Amino acid sequence: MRIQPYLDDLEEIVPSRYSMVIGVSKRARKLMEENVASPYPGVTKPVSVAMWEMKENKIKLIERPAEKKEETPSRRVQEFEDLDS
Amino acid sequence: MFDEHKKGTLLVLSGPSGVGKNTLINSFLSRNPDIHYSISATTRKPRPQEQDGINYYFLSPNKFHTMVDKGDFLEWAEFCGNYYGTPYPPIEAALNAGQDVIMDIEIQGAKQVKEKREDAVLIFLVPPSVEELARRIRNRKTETDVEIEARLNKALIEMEEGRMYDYYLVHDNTEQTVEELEAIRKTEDKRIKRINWDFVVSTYKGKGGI
Repeated sequence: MRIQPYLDDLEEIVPSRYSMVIGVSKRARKLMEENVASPYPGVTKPVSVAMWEMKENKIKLIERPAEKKEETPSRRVQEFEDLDS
Repeated sequence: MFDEHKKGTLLVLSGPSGVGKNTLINSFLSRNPDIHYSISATTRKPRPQEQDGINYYFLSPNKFHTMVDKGDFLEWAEFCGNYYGTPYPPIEAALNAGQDVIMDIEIQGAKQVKEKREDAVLIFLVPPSVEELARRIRNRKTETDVEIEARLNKALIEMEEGRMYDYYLVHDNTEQTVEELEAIRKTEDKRIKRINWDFVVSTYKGKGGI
């Protein structure tokens, strides 16, 4: 099994590379904090696990529209919903 | 360990070809499973024990250049007739998640990393001697004599490039070099520019009656 899915496969699923990175990063942090074991053979690193989960739509990116009151350029907040827990 | 108020440290390892980057990295990774290893993309042919998506992403030249055009690489370079590049998204994700990352790349690539990520820690790996370097390359049995000659000449030119790096390690005994690499990582993890200092200060507020 490959350690990470190809980026092209991910780039088809998520709206932008930026949101992919933020989503994978948030998921990886959660996997680390909760010491979640990798369900994928040979894939150990949290970032790689998060990428596979994203590829297999186990996690989904939810982009909340930026609230109006934000003065900074509207950076949409990406959260994710953990579908399988 | 994964202090959420800290960005990950990006360790970049380069050195003349044949100095033993892979040997060092494999040993370092086996002792430090909590670090993310960056898998490079390349157009070169796989060596016998190498597998796609494990040691490298083996890509066709035009697939490689599509990624270049899309800006998917943190760095890329041509080396001895082949292309090598570092996919950026997984690294960004790991660093944002507060996880340290280690990558081993060609020397020309290190310049690009330094420009894009001035917080990157550049480590230059040198052989104990040129004779030892020649022995290691020959030992790999993956290059013809002509190719070895080309690599050795290139190695001498590459030594000059060490000047722009932050640290240098002499790779003689692997275990000892791994320990030095671990020491660099531990020290760099303490750099304040990677830490959310407001958070650190806030942990002292409202304590001890101040």
